[in-house]
Amino acid sequence: MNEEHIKHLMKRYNEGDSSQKDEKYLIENRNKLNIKEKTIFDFIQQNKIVTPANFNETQWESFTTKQKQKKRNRYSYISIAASILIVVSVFLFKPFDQEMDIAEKQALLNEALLMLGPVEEETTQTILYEDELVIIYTSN
Amino acid sequence: MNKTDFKNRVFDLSEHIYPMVFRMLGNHNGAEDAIQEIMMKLWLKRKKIEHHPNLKGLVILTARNHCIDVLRKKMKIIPIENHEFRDAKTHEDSIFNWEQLNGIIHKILSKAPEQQRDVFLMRDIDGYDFKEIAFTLNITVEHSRVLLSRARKLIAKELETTYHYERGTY
Repeated sequence: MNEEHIKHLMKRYNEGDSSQKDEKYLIENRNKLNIKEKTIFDFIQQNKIVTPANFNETQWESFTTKQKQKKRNRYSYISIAASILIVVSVFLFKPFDQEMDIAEKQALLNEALLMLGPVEEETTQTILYEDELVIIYTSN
Repeated sequence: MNKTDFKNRVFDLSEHIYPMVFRMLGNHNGAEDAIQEIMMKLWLKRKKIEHHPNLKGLVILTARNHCIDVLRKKMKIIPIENHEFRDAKTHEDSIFNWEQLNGIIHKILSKAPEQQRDVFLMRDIDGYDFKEIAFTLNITVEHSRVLLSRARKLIAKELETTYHYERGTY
């Protein structure tokens, strides 16, 4: 009965029709198979990779740490980029570079003087009286 | 998809993809790093993949493609017999010792058509179901069964030939 069952499962296995449960059963009972079939299941069993215990949890911890690190890095990059942008803007638009040269200043001064009209001639002053506290002038 | 959803629906498949990633990259540390990178890729795409009809298949496919990229960059294929978990002890009740056995089956697999080899490894070594295999390899479930059957028969046939050769009964 058991032998027949294994034979039947091997047939299904070779046809690609076996379920994972059937295959597990064949691996566990490979000592009952003929030597060629057993060799194949020895190979499969030997090469099966067992996932370490608590793998998801340890990986998740590591993942969240990396995520936080990446977030911090992103903020740092944004800060650096903003700083660079400010520096570049300063160089491109030169907001403080509005100082006039001498010719421009002279022209502006002349314009201002014209607005004031003709300057009156300087008056001559004569001292009439002077003491330690008071000086009295006369002008023409 | 928020962080909790992502953990429950995507990240917790890490255990499921670990055997395949380990097999393809050949060592535990490489597999761990790769899984972190795979999960980071999926996290960045979480809005797009949220309503994917086969999220499990998508995670396996992403993992497989990532491993292929890593191997391409390294320009090397990890021979199956070089995995660090390999135990080279001799089994008294086996036809060959482990080194011989792994060498022989690896040789058979390397000669097998690529899809047959992939289906065999994904099913018999990594333990995926046909739906996952079919989605990952972009074939139908029926086709994956046919390929698996051919691969299993090929290995059995080649092993028999080798066995007879070893025993001088060919």
